[in-house]
Amino acid sequence: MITSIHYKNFKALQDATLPLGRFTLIVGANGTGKSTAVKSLEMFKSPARYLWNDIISKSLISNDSLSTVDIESDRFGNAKVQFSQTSHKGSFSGNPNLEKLIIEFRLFSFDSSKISAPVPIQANTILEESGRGLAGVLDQLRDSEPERFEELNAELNRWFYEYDRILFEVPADGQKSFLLRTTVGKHKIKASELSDGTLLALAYLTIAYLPNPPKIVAFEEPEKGIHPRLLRNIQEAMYRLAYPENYGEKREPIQVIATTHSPYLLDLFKDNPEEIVISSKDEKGVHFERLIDKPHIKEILQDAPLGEIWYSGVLGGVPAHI
Amino acid sequence: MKIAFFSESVADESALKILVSGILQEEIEETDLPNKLIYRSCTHLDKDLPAVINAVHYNSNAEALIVVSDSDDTPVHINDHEENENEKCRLCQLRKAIEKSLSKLQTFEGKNLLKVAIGVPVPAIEAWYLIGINPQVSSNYWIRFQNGEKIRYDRQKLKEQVYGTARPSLKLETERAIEESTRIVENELIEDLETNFPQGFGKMADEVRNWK
Ligand SMILES: [Zn+2]
Repeated sequence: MITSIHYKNFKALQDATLPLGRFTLIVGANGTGKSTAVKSLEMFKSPARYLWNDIISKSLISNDSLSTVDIESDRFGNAKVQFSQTSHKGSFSGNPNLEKLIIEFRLFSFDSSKISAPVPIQANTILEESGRGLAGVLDQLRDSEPERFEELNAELNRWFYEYDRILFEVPADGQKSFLLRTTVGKHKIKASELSDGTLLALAYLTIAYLPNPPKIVAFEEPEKGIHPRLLRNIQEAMYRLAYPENYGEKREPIQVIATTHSPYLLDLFKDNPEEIVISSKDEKGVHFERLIDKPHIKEILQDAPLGEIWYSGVLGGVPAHI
Repeated sequence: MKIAFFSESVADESALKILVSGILQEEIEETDLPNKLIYRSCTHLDKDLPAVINAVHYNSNAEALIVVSDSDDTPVHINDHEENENEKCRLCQLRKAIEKSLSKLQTFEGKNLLKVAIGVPVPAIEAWYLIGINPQVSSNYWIRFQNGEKIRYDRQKLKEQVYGTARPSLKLETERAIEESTRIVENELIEDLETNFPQGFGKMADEVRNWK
């Protein structure tokens, strides 16, 4: 597990340390660096593909000619990612096991039209970052892990009372797509006819039930397009990845990073404040701070619900435009 | 009686149905609320509650609504608040927002004014579930904690005691909610809840009995 990432001259992150746990929810308004931070992990997978111009912040005038990112982990030591003005490409140095872990990183940003798209029938379909491939992944799960697939169906019905089962069809030669069966009347609803919110939720549900999910995953604004009633379920899908032992899963914990600017989602973490990191920006740049490290946090939380407190700006990262 | 529920999760709602049914000593009938209510947190209560109350009053056959929200870290409601409402107290906040919404509702033939009862578990609904199990659960005990005393539980510990983990699945939460509230009703512990949580539970129970 990565325990912290320290950024120096990396895009808008001039000098900022992001603390990470098994599950981390980064809360902040747009432009406070949370998206830059999760996307940075994607770059660390293959820093050689990026040039100095990809790393420097266009809005900042800096005399520095080196960008350094220090990554610390609990089991695999440290690593350093560097980008410099003089050498053309970025470089990675450090523990090879940590590098392996980072290469597994996946940033999911689901798109309902990709989730519902038919997929070519082939072995080893993976769930892509956009959610493309879902039909293939579900189909494989049904064939290779039928008990798990049954559990997923039962959970689907708990999330959506109106649906009780995932079914499949072959819309064209060599293609596969999925359908949901209605609880009442047993009608089959094609993926392309399902609401965007249902499709997005199904993608979160599926990733939580994968037998071997990637070792580190991030979700950008998982509240997007999701009915408020389902936020708790989305939280649970992410917890299932991060705390498998709580769900009867035998696999290793997955490190999960999520970003949000929804006070409603934030409120669901009120009993686990150690998982929350606030991202904010001032004249000196972007900062990340664990909620529990905020001075006077106990007193502050006596005033109002967590979501509302954050929304009011007391915690920093003022949500000016939401 | 047809009663609608607005609380923080489906798990809470399944417990509340059983507890309120125990208070009323009658079955709670299902309402025809479309898609149930939207479960959400207590953020923006002032914005969300009017919409919920309007929906229940005008678009459902519910005669009454139970609103329940954990007190979390906010000050516990005490008798002094009856005279001078405390802006930070969850119960005072809910009461104010609900009274405001109710005053705007219109009644007509066949539609009496919606009855509303408020419950505020201190500090969280798990404290209610532990009545008769953990002898310490009470709002007075929690007030001691808020006054700076070291006490034997916090919200995470209450959760661990009820679910065996501080991060229960919704399924487990619902199962345990039903088990414990059934135990409370069957072992006639409603009165104990009223004694140990006189404001957050007792006032709700009084209100519910008035509905009959
Ligand atoms: Zn009060």
